[in-house]
Amino acid sequence: MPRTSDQTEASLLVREALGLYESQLIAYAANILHGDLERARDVVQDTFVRLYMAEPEKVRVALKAWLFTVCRNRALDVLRKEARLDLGDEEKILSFSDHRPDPASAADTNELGSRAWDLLDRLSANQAEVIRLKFLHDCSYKDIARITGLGIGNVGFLMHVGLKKLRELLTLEMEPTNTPS
Amino acid sequence: MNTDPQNQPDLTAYALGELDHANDAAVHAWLVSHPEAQAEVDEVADLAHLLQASAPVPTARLTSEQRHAILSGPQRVREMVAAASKKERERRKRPDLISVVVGGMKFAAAAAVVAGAFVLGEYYAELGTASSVAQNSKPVTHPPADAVVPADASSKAKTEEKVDVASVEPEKSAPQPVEAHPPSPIVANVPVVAAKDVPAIPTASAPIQVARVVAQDGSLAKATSPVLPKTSLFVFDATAQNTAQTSGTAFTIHPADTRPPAEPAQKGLAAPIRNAAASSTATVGKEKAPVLLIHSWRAEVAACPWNETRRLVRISVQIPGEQDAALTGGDYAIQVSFQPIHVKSFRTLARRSVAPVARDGAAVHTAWYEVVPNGNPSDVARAIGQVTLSNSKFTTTAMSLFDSSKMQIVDKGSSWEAAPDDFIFESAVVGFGLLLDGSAAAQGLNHTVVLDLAERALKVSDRSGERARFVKLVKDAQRAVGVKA
Repeated sequence: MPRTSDQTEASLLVREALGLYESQLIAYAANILHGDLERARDVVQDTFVRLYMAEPEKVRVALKAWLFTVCRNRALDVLRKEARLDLGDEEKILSFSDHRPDPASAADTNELGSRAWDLLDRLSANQAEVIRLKFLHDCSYKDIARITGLGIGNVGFLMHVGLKKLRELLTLEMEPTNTPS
Repeated sequence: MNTDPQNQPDLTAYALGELDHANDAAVHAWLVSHPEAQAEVDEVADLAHLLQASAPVPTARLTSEQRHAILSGPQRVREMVAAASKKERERRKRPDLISVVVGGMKFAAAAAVVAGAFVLGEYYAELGTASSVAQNSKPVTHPPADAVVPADASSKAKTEEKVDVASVEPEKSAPQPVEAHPPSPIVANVPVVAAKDVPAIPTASAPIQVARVVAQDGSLAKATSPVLPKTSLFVFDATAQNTAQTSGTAFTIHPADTRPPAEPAQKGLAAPIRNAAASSTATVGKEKAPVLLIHSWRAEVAACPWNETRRLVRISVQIPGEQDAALTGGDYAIQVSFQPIHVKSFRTLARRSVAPVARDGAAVHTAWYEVVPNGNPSDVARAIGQVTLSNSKFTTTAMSLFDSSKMQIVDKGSSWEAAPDDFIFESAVVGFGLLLDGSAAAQGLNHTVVLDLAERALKVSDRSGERARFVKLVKDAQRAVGVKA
């Protein structure tokens, strides 16, 4: 394929990806990076730069998963370098805080739903991540497996356990507390 | 996969629609005779719906500089990577403590800008305190669209990190271009020009008021409100143009209108751009017309909310508020052209200019267009037009290799629902202005549509309540004209 055509296709792919996933990727990276929006933007910029250098026809078939995977890896690289943890110790690295919805908008949304998102903090890092990828970033199990490097069965297990625990936590919160007089 | 209906994770997968057709049918059949398991599945589905319905909407955007760096092409990206790597090596040699303070203050200032922008008096008061402190020696950054991060998030200290060859650091010392628009005050609807059936909009209690100044004989009618600066107006001028006759138009930037208010020089502030611009002059004939300095620009296209057969285009240009071009009082035309092959006709809807508050701040000039596509809309990104600069140049040193004075207007076929909340909210304001204008051919446009748009944006973000006040304004207008809310 002529070089000029490749560059054109890459440019179109990057534009398309920017339009579709820019904000989602920043939110995803910000979650990993403890809410550091500026650094998250750097990571996402880096992600799109790498997209430019990838082969469009190979990436396009699973563009979303590719972007989230690269974004995740870059964000973890940043965390590793900053936290100086052992490489591969992703469970520790991914003990990031859940970002909270804007308090102003939370007032307009279902309080229970908002609280559910808050409670992701109480789950393990892997459980919280698969839940975010599923419900915040609309990823399928297959995408999540590709992004995180986990097996699909493992993703399903984490999802099941995570949602079950989330339900338990929500139920506990909704129960009236008996305070001794 | 072999699905075991009694396997709890498989039931969860079923509830979330993650099973293939065959396994999904098998589980469905099994659940018919296992009501307790069905109840479990129902609970998972309920929780899934709850999470989906209340999921925060990611709205953070890259800075304009970052986007431009990405879109400029592989060659430029490689050059920027090399430049960033060199810069990172130099930065490692010195601690960057000041960025910790400035970063946090910048974020706080960004939140303050969003909060105050729609209330004219508060806008200047808040920004005068927050953003001028935050700017310090850092470039201007208009507030991003609300990011899904806590409002009190602070930047982490910039620890040293090995620079990946593919990592690109945005230019730190150059002005950061606008990422999103600060909402501009909407000016009082007094007087209404050339509109016949304009509702009486109650203004006593609403800090947000809608202004409409219609161009007459090609020139702008001045706003007569003594309170509101003309730079904050939405100016509506819906004149349809057929691309068969003319493919282009222009909107004019009058930098003198968007100069920041005069302030005493603050210690520690970077020198105003005007000093840098002193040598940037272009000779046109015998007159020396200063080159217009520009931080960044952006073109956004989305479906028109009140007429899905049409597209809305927003062109934004950010310029340093203080520059030589602002001292001469001259006008600078930003040419906007549409390709007849893709655009049948277009019309300018509105223009807006927002002056900075801080002396080293940036002004934002925006133009809105409505486009009638030629033929069926395409889901493949295509360039439908072009924005051309003349007698202008970019300020950021990172863009020093950027030698194009043209920006393509790319239509990716985006729905308006996918647009950033500030785009959606501004389209509500534009739509409301068209309603007041009695603009012809505004098919499908009514108060309900405007309200829906504004309320959608309101749900995403409304830090200071301005969007809620606009919603109230529209509802009041709706009642005033006798439309049932």
